[in-house]
Amino acid sequence: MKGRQASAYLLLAPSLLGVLTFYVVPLAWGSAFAVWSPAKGFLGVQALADTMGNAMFQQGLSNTLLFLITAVPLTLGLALCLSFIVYFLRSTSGWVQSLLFLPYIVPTVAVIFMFRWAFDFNGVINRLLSVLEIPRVIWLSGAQMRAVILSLFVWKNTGFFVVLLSARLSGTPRELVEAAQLDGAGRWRCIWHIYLPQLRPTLVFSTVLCTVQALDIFRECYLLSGNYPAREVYTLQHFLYNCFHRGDYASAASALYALLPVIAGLVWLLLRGDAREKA
Amino acid sequence: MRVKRHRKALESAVAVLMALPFLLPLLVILADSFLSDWELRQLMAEVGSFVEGRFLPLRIPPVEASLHQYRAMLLNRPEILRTLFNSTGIVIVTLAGMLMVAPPAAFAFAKLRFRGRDLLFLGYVVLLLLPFQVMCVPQYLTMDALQLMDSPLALILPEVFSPLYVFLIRQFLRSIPDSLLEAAALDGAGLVRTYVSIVVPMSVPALCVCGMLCTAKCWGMIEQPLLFLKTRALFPLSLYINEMLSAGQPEFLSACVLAVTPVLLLFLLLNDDIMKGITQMEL
Repeated sequence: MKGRQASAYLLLAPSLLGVLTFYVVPLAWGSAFAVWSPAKGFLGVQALADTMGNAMFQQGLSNTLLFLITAVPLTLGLALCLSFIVYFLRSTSGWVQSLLFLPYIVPTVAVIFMFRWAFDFNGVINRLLSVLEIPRVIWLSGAQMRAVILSLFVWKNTGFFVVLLSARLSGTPRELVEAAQLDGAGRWRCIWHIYLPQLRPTLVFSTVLCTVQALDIFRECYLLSGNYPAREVYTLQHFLYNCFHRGDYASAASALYALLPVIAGLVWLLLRGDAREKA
Repeated sequence: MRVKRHRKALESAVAVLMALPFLLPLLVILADSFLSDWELRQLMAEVGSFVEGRFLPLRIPPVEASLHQYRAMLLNRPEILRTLFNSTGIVIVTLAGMLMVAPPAAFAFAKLRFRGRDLLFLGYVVLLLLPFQVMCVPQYLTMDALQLMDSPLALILPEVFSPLYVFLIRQFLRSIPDSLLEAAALDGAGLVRTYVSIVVPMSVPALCVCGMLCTAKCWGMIEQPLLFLKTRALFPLSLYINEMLSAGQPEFLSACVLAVTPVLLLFLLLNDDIMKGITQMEL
C-alpha cells in the first residue's frame, strides 16, 4: 500500500509542479503586490482602499457584474430550452449538437466583424427592426454596445451548454419516464418532476462555468472597441490592464480582491452541488 | 410508415431552424470571402455610414465570385503564413505537453487513494474557476521572473498545466468501474501497466474533448499574446487578424476563413469521440 501511495504522487508530480509554478506561486506573489511594493515596502491597506474608491474601478466592476447577471441567465435559459428540443428530436440530435458546438470552438476574432456588420446602422438587425416598423438603433456606441456583446457571448457559448445538458438528459432512466406517463403525467409534468431534477448537478456546474466565461468578457469588448472603449463596456480587466501598463502593480493586484467574493461564491455553489449529489 | 417519415422530416426542419442562427455568421464569412474586389469595396464603403434607407450590400452568394481576396492575402500579406505557422506550433506543443501531464494526474485523482487527495483536488477546482483577469498580472510577473517574456513558452506553459484538463479527464475516469482496474491488478499488472494498457485506451474520448478545447483556446488566444509577446514575428494568427481588422485591411475575410478552417476540420475528425466524451463525463 505504501508503494501505491508513492506512485500516486509520482503520477501527480508533473502536473502538481506546473500548477504550483504557473498558478499557485504567481497568485500568492501577485496578491502580495496589493499591500507591498519593492520600492516603498509595506503599503498597508491604503492601496486597496484607493483602488476601491477609484471611479474607473467602480465603473469596470459594475459593468462586469451587470454583464454577469444578464449573460449567465440568458445563456443558460436558452441552452436549457434548446437542450430539451434537442432531446425530444431524437432522430436528429446527434448532428444538431455538433452544429451547435461549432461557435464555441471558432476563434472569436474570426466572427467579430460579422457581429459588427449585423449590428451596423445599416445591418441585418436594423433591417429586421425596420420590417417591424421600429426605428433603427445605433448599436455600436454607448449602452447599446452591451447588447452587441451580450449577443456575441450568447451566440458563442450557448451551444456548449446545450451539449452538456443534453448529454445529461440522455442519461435519464427511461423506466422512470414511462412509469410517470402510465400514471397520466404529461410532458410538462415529466420535465418538471423528472428531467429537471436529473439535470440539477449539470445545471449547477454550467452556472459556475458560464460565470467564469462571462468574467472573461474582456476579449469581446477589446476586439469590438479596443483598449479605450466607451464607459458602458469598460470592464474590470480594462482597468487592470491600464494600471498595469502604467506600472501601478498595487492597483492592478488589489483589483483582484474585488473578484474574491464572486469566486468564493462559485466554489461554494460547486461544493454544495457536489455534497448534494453524494448525499 | 408515412406518418413516421413525415415526423422525421418535421424534426429535421425544426433542427435546422434551431441551428441556423448559430451557423449563419460562419456561412456568411465563407460566402463573403469569395466577394470580388469591387463588391468588397462597395460593402466596405457602406459599413459605418448613417444614411437612412439603405442596407449593407451583403451579397450571398457573391454576384461575381472570385478568389481575389485569397490571392491578395497571399501576395500582399505573406507574413500571414508565418503567423499561421506560429499558431500551429503553439497548438501542437501545448497539446503534446497537456496530453502528457494531465491524464496521469487525472488518473491519480480518480482512482488512487493517497493522503491529501481531496484537499489537493479542491485546490485544482478553485484554480480552474479563476478567470484570466485574475491570473494575468500574477502570470506576467512570473513570466518576467522566469525570463519567459516574449517567448511562445509564456503562452504554452500555463495552458499545458491548466487544472481544467485534469478536472475533465478525472470526471470521465470516474465513470470507469473500479472492478476493471482491480481485475487488471489481480492479473498482476502494476500501476504503470494498468495505466498504459487500460486507462489510456479507455479515456480516448476524454482526451479528444480536452484536445479540442485546448486547441480552440490556444488557436483563439488574444489576451495572452497581447500581454506576453512583443516581437511581431512571434504573433499568432488570431492577433494578426485583429490587427488586419482594426487597420481595415480588405483581405481579412479570407484570413478569417483561414483561421476557422483548421479547428472545424479537427472537430469534424474527432466529432464522435468528443460527443461520447462529453456524454460520459460526470459534470
